[in-house]
Amino acid sequence: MEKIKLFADKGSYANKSQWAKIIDYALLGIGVAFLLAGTIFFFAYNWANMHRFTKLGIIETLIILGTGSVFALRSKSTIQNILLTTVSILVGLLFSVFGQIYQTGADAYDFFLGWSIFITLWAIISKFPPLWIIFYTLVNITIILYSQQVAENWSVTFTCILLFIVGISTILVLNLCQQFFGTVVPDWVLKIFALTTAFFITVGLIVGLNRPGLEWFIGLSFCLITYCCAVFFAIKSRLLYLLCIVALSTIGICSALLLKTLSMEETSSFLFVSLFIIFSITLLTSKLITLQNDWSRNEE
Amino acid sequence: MIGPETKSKESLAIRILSLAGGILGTCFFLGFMGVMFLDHPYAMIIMGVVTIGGSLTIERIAKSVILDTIAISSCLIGNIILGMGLNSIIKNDNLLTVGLMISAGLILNFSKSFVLNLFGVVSINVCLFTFISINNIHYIIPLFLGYLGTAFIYLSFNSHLNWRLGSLLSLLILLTYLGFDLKEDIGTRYISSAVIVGLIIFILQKIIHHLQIEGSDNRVMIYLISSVILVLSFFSPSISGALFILLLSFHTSYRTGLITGVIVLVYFVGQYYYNLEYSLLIKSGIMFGTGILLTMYWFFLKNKLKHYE
Repeated sequence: MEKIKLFADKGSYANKSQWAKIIDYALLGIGVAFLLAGTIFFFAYNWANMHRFTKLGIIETLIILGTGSVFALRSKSTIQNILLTTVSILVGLLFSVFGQIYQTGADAYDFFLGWSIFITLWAIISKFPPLWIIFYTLVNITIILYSQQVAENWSVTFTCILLFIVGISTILVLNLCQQFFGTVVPDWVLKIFALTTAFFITVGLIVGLNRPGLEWFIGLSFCLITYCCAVFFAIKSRLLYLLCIVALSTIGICSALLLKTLSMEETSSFLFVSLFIIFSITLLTSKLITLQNDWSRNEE
Repeated sequence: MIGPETKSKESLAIRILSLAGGILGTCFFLGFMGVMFLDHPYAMIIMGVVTIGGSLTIERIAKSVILDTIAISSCLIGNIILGMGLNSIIKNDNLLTVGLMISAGLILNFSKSFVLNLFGVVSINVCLFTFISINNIHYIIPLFLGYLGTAFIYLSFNSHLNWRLGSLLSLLILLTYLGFDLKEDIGTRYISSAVIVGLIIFILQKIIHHLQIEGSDNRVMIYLISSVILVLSFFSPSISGALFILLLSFHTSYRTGLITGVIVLVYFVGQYYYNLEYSLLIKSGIMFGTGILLTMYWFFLKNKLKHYE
C-alpha cells in the first residue's frame, strides 16, 4: 500500500491513442533507421571486394525503389516522407561511393554541394521538416567547406555572415510558404533555424573583433537591421523565444565588444563585463516576464 | 526532504536566457576572482560562504525577478569560489566532497529558484558519484543507479518539476559513464542493466494499469515485445536507461525528458555499435536483423494500433 501511495498518479498521462501513435511511428522509424545503418555498414565491409558497377548499381536500385514506393503509397504521407528522407541520405551515399571509385579529386565541398542540389526538389515537395533540417545542414556544411578548401581568403566573419544570410532566407521562405501556400511549419523547426542563424552571426562578429574590417561592419549592420525586424515581428506575433534568442546574441556580442574596447587591466575588465552581463540579463528577464504576463492577460 | 515549486512562472525560453546569462556572467566573474584571490585560499572560502549566504537571503526575501537572476549568478559564483578555496586547504578528497555536498544541500533547503534547485540536485548526485570514484567502489554503481531511477520515477509521478530535471541530468551523467567501454566493469554493467530492467517493468505495470489494458493476451504481448527489446539492449545499460527515460517521460507527458531520451538513445546506440569488437559485416547483420525485427513488429501491429489512434 505504501508503494502505491509513493507513486500515485497525480498528473496528466498519455492515453491509448497517443501510445498507439508513438509506437506506430517509433517502430517504423527506428526499424528503417537500423536497415539504413545496416546497409551502410554492409557497404563499408565489402568496400574493397565489390566491383564498381555492383556498388553503384545496388545504391541506385535502392534509390529507384525508394522513390517508386513514394509514388505507390499515395495516401500515407508520413511513410512517404520517411522514405523520401531515407532516399535523400542514400543519394549522399551514392555520391561518396562514386567519388571514391573514380578518384575524381574533388574537394569535400563538391560532394556536399552535389548532395544538396540533388535533394533540393525533394526537400521542397516533401514538406517534411526533418528533411528540411537535413537539407539546411548540408547547405551550411557546403559553405563552410568551400570557405576552408577553395576560398581561403574568406575570413571566419565573412563565412558566418553568409551562413547568417542563408539562415534568414530559409526562415523568410518558410514563413512566406506558411502564409501564402498553407505549408505547415512546426514551431520547433523555426526555433532551430533561428537559434543556428543567431549562433553564426554571434560567432562571426565576436571572432571578427580581432581585426574588424569592412565586412565586420557590414555584418554588424545586417545583424542590427535583422534583429530590429525580428524584435518587431516577435512582439507582433508574440514569439517569446525569438526575443530571448536575439537578447542572448546581443548580450554576447556587446560583452565581447566591451572586453575588446576596455582599456583597463584584465582583472577589472572581467569584473566590468561580468556585471554588465548580470545587469542586462536581469533587466531583460524582467521586461520579458512583464511582456509575457501582458500577453497572457490579453488572451484571457 | 521535498523541494518547493519554483515561485516564478516564466516560460522555458526565459528560464534558458536566465540560465545562460548566469553562466556567462559567472565565467567572467570567476576569471576576475581567480586572478584576485588565487593565492589566498582562506579569503576564497570566506568570500564563497558570504556570497552563497547573501544570495540565498536575497532570493528568499526578494519579490522581483530582477534580484532572482543576481541571486542565481552569485550563488553559482560562491559555490565555485568555495570549492576552489576548499580544494587548496583540504587535502582529503572525501572531506572536500562532503563540504560541497553540504553546500548543495543548504541551497536545496533554502532556495526556491528553479536554476538553484537544479544545480543543487545535480551537485549532490555528482558528489555521491565522486565518492564512488574516489574510493574505487564501482560495485555499488547499480545501487546508485537504482536510487537515481527510483528518484526520477517518484519525482515524475509527483510532478516536482525542479528536482525532476536535476534527477534526469544526474541519471544521464551516470548512463554516459556506463556507456564507456570499461572491460573491467562488465559485472557492474550487467547488474546495472538488470536494475534498469526492473525499473522498466515497474513503469510498464503502471502504464498497463493506467491504460486499463484488458485481456491477458494483450498484456502478454506487451511484456513479450518489451522483453525482446530489453534483451537486445541488456549488454548496454546506457541504451536500456535511455529507453527507461523515454518510457517514463512519454507516460508522464514530460517533453524535456522525451526529447533528451531520443537524443541520448541515438548517441548510446551509435556508441555501442562503435565499441563492438566485431567486423563491419557482423555489425551490419546485427543492425539489419534489428531493423527487420522492428519493421516486422510494425507490420503485425499496425492494424491493431490504427484501432486505438
